[in-house]
Amino acid sequence: MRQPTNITTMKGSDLVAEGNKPVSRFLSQEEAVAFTERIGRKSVGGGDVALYLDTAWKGNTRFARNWVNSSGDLRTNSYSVARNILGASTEVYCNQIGDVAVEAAVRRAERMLRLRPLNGGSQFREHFKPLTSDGSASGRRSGAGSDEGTSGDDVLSYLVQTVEPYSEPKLFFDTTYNLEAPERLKALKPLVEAAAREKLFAAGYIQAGASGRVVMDTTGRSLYYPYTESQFSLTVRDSEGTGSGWAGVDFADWTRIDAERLAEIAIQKCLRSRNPVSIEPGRYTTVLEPQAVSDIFKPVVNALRRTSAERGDGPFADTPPYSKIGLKVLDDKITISADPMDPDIGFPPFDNKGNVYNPVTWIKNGVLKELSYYRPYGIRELGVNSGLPNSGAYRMSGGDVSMEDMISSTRRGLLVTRFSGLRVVHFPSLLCAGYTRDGLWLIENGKISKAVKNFRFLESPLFIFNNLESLGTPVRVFSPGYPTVVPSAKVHDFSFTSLIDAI
Amino acid sequence: MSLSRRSFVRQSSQLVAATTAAAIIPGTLHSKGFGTTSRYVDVTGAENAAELVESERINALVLRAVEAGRAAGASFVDARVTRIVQQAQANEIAWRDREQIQMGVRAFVNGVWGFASSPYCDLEEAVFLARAAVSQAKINSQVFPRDIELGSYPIAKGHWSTPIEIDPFTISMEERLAHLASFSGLAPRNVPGREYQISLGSVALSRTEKTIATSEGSLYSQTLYVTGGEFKFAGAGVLPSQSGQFQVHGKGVESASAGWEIFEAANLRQQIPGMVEEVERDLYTSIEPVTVGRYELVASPTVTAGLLQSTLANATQLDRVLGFEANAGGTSYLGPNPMRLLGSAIGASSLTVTADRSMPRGLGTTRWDDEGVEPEPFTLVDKGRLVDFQTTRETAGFLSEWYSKQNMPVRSHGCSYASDASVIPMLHTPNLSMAPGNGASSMEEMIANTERGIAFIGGSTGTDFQSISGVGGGYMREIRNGKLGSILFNAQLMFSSLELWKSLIEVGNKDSIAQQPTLPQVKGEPRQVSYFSIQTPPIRLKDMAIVDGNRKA
Repeated sequence: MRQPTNITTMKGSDLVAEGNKPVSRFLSQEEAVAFTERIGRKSVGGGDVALYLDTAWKGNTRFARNWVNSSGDLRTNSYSVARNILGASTEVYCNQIGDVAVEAAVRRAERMLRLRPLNGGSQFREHFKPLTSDGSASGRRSGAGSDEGTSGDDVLSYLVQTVEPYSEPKLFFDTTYNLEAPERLKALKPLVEAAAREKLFAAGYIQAGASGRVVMDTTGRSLYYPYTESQFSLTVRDSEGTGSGWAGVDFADWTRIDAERLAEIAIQKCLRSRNPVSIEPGRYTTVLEPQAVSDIFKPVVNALRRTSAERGDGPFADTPPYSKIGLKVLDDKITISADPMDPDIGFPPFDNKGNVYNPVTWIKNGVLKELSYYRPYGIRELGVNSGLPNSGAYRMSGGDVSMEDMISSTRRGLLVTRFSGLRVVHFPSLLCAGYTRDGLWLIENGKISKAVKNFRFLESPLFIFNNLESLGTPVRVFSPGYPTVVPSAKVHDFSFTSLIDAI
Repeated sequence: MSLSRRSFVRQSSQLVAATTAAAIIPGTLHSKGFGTTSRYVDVTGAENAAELVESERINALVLRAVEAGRAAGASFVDARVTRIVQQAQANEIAWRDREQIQMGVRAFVNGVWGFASSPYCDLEEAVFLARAAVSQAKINSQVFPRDIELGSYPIAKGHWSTPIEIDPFTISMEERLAHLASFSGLAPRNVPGREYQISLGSVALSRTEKTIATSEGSLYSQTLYVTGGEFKFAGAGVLPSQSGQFQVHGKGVESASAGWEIFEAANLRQQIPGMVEEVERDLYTSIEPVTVGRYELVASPTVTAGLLQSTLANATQLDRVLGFEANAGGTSYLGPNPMRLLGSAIGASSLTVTADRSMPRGLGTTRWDDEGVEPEPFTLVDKGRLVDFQTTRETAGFLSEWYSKQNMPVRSHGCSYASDASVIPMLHTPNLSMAPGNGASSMEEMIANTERGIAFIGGSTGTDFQSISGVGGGYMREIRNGKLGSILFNAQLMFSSLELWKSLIEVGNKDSIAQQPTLPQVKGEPRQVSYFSIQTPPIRLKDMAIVDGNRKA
């Protein structure tokens, strides 16, 4: 007998938010708690339930050809309900917060749960280490004082019951929250007019956003963190498309974005990059602007993963089960660190599953010090009651050479604004392919001599950051969602493989 | 099955529908499907779909939003409510279940779009969003008015659904898992020096319901299905003199705008021995480093689709040409003035590319686009000449000079698309087809006719931010005297788009055409993603530059 079996449940009449609409542009802490309680009440049959919610507002203005194309105001709730019984776990994603929707989501999770293997599953295992009553996993753990059970479930007691302490950076700025359409227009108007005065075309994007990151569950966590984000970037091109300049940055606090200066940089880059000439592909001493450093260094930060390295995957793998921790991986000037309290970085102190970000120095003076792991790994393998997740946000430090000095000390080399279309072609060596974009110049005898055509490149960030000559002072660059503070860098033997005609 | 599945589904769902109100309460009813172990009745998704998209309540929401937007002073308004239901299962891990319902309103005032969207779908919110959208547009248009006409189009009314034979959402999760489990044991296990990766596989289903009203009086709803998954058998052998591995794989099923019937038609169980055999054959083929040089290249339909996607599919988006995407996805080598190359040759005379949003099973297939235009098939490249661009109502006017020369009306080609109501509709590529030629009827035949060259059988291609230059790599083999020879490792095709399509010397005939889905297409700020399908024959290209892809400068 066949029965239509899929439980997506909502009918038109169930759509109403049932008085659960937030008072402001996104759910407040109180509203999120009330929402979680409703989810908890719908969950039956024991086990645990968790809510992971991102509730957000975003306002944006998009311009191109010196016009505003569109302006938008967007509110979203994106949540998942995770159910975990006897080590089987499932997660269901939804965006409706009305009672019918919530119940449907929980029911779907519970229905899937019946098909899941016990102690198999996925999501929860990452975050909670289920402990059998004989306590077999407890032998190596420390910090037992924080492991008191609160679930009251005899079959399952969770090792991780209390909330890890986390830092509380100030990430919510009214200046960003108040950046509505009129304020965004006010910010971009002079920039567009400046580009138009030069008979250039400006295209760009301003976005302001405010979110609540929510993690609440029956193991006792009740995390809510409000934060704002703002970003601005623009590309200035001439009417014939023979020159292109770009500049951009993101900050939690809009007032830290100097849009006029960025526009001036993009305009100058456009003017100075016009009618580029061809030069031979090959290996060049290269001055990378901070944005270019960020673009090409991102794969290194993404690869800071302990379990996969110990499994033998990626650039930080040694002979399994060992990683390269303790070994020199980059030039000894380079230090890579991340701290949610860093006033120039600042990111929510836990991820969207509640994993707490602790301050960390990944690489110190070129030596790999840490790789990221989650709390169960810390408890099981390292005897520490905390995880070391990687937020993707970081600071690179180790120098204070100005870009002018880098250029003036270069006999022949290239100056790169940024990279585009970057992808990793060989993960173990982090060999990357991509293109230079929006401003590439030849340096001759200590001076920028001419604009040159863009290159396709094939290079590993591990190689060039071992061929480092100097680092500049770190500054915030454009990397929405992953606050990044990096310096400019002068490297040698950067491999540019072929010319491209794209401007 | 004597009773057709659809009619059966309809009958049984009526039973369920009758108990819907109670069905949601756990423990009160027993589902026949799961016998006594079941505590919940599963309320059908399939039949409720129609109920949602066609329901009076949803219609009332979008109509109210449009009315409020007009009253607030917009010259054009469209409002939509969308629901997306996605489910995916793979073995053991990576299950996905997602449902999203969102309402969005777009308003046009003096050439500027305003947009507002939220998940709270009630009448009060409809009015609020409409006013917010109008106010966003008004504020900006007071400073930056644009002189843009959206044109007038016939009113869109009614409901349309992707033609499907078997609603994939009526295939229970248990059945889908059983289907996946039935493949276990059919593929060989690892042996020394060989590593097999068996991903047989996963099932991914999605259903998008959209109800849209426009201020011109259109009120229409669509239910769009995509069914697919990954059914792949891959084998890896260790490369000679290389630390890396060499991988070959066979593929079972492609995602398509269709229902569960694509799984039944694919007959995966019987495909597996063939896939295994193919992989084994490849693993025992000799592997050689590529000799850098210029070669005659035979590209499979898959590779041809990749080449077309990364070059002309992007480059003929009129918004890219005009620079709207300069700060995001990039611009186009066919710009910045769209008139510059219109009418002139951008490829060999054997190259004809058409767009069609009614392509059966195409991922870009739809009855109406997202601003009420009923798309008609159109030609982008005619016998090597660029004759048109992909357009929306906003962008079509930029070609009015060209259209008047051609005695064609200024009309959008219906390329407006928003994956859901949380993103503003934008120009996205429709399904594309490369017209067949008088060439071979299969790639094999084309290879047999080639004395010396390279066969580019599978892999990926990509281009820069203007789609000018690109590279392609993956599975290439040398061709000698009409036969496939060694596998070439690290071989990489390097091309410029203009040169590539001018080097076209043979296009496979209509029997050689294959259809496939594209990789996700990303553009816009905030990022938007879309998919379409491409129909391509195998092609032969002369003098293609082949380089060593892993070799640094």
